[in-house]
Amino acid sequence: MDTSLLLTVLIDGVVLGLVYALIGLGLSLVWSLMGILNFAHVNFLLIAVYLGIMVFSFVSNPIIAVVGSLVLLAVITLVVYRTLITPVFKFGLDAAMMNTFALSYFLVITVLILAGPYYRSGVTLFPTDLQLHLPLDVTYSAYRVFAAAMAFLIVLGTMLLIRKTMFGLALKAAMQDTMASVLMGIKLKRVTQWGFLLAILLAGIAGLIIAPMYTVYPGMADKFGPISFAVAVVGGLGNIEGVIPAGIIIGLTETLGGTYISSAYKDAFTYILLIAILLIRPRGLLGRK
Amino acid sequence: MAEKYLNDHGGVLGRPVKVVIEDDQSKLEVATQAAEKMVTQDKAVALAGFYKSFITKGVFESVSKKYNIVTFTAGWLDDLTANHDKLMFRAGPFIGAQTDQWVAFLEYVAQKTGHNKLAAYSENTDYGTSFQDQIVAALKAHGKVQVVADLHHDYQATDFTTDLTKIKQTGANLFWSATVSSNVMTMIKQAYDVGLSHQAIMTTVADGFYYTDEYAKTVGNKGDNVIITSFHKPGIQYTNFTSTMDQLYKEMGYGTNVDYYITIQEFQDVLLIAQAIKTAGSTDTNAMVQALESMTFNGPWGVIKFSMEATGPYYHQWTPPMLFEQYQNLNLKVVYPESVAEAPMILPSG
Repeated sequence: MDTSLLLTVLIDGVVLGLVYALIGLGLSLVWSLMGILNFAHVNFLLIAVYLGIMVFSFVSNPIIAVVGSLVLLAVITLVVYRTLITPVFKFGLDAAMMNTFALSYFLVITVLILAGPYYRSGVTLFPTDLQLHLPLDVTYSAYRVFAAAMAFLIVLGTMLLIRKTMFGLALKAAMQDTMASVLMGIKLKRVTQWGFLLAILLAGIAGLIIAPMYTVYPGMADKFGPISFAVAVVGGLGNIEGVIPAGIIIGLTETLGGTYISSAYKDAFTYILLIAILLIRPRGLLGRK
Repeated sequence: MAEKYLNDHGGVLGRPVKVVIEDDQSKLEVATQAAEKMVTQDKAVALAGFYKSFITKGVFESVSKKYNIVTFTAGWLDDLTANHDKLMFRAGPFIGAQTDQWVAFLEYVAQKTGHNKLAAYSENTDYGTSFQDQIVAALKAHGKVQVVADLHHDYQATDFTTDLTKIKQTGANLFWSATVSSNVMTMIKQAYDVGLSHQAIMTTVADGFYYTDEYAKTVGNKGDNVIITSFHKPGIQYTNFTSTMDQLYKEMGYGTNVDYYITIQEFQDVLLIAQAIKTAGSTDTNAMVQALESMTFNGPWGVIKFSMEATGPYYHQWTPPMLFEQYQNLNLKVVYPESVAEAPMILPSG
């Protein structure tokens, strides 16, 4: 076996896995908080990427573009949450979930209309043309390592936020037991709203991180929708601690399967894994009973 | 353009030429009705156009054969000429010719630069798979280029890093891809990231971003030195007649230079039909077919002589040169064929 190739495949699997973990984290958060799968989750990722490009075109400063993008995303999210998400909730969880499905198309079409179908390059805070020369003659993109490190730190930071802050504890309580948290005086509506916003901002950050690795166009988020579901399910829906191992397992499954079994069908390995997990351990790797 | 050119030069057999134009709307029923009307009411002596192969097939079966009319197609399907119908001609690109020209180019690169270890990596669609199979089979049969990797990716793939690394590890110094899906630019970026484009000459059939700044904006300098193909680049002078055509194009207010290959093909088809009538001395179909089979025509794309190969798609076929263009400082430069090359090919730095 070519050890150089194996090392690259392992690094890439972990890198992709950490990025997938960040994308899946917000989805898992919304599931445990609101009881729905947010089908529009990765489309907010897309919105953040395009907002970043838009702000950058005005200010030519990547830091301001990234911050501006997240501020604008927060405003859009709150507007969407209050006008499109919460009004449908009173009709039940199924209606709310289908609403996010419709919303996902609405967001993509909005991008298509406003920005056109053209390809673009995402805003970046780190040079994208640096290469790391690693042992065993491995050359690897420094940006991808940066992206993975950022993803890891943000997932970790989010976990700390939830464990160590009052807001986080309220969020955790609401995620674990809605009724009990209300009885304990937690303002559920407010906590849910800020929790939803946090989840979308995580998706937005993920989008801004991954955009320079890929090509930006209105369909760029399509692949990440199913991946984020897979991460959330494999990690255990609602269990945010599970997203990192789940992401890495999925990333490694994709890269190892694609390299050593079939490059043409590497995405299939992720879904074979997903089916296997659902059959053997339906609550996911770290999911609660 | 063709009508003006012919009439400015005295018409055909002393009579003015009228080119009747209809829009087939890419719909077979519209095309068939229009062709029927052109032949029966407008008294057309030949038909030309039909960019969609299925439309050529339909019109040919229901109109051309019925009225015994010479037909020039702009469709790309091999079958259109491979069926060896005496009324069907094509003076333009087709799928099989693309394969032949790619193979010729890759063998030229191998011989000229020593980059002879090829990795083929395409989308797993019918297009990408069959195209790659043909290229790989031909290269293996000729033995001038060694195929060191023959891989496919999912047509919706967004990440190619591990595949490209695997390809790099094979020692490939020549890369070919029939990926035309949306993420070809991501592939090019990631080929740079894993260091593949530092060791291999990168070539791709992908189009859609010729002569636009979209490629430069999206891929940046990671996309430099990548070679793509086209059947025309504005301003390229294939023959002395190219400048005459460009001049006419400008005079008629369409732009500075003919910008798309189909314009050349349709202009040329009408001129070929006119030349056939002149050579035949009449609009008799059989005489026109004989004239087309025997004559040589100096057109804007080259010297046309229809092939009469007994088998395969080259019967009644003339194929224009495919241009191989390389991004050099993110400007496209023709590097092959040598007869119209604008710059020498830049080799990878590694």
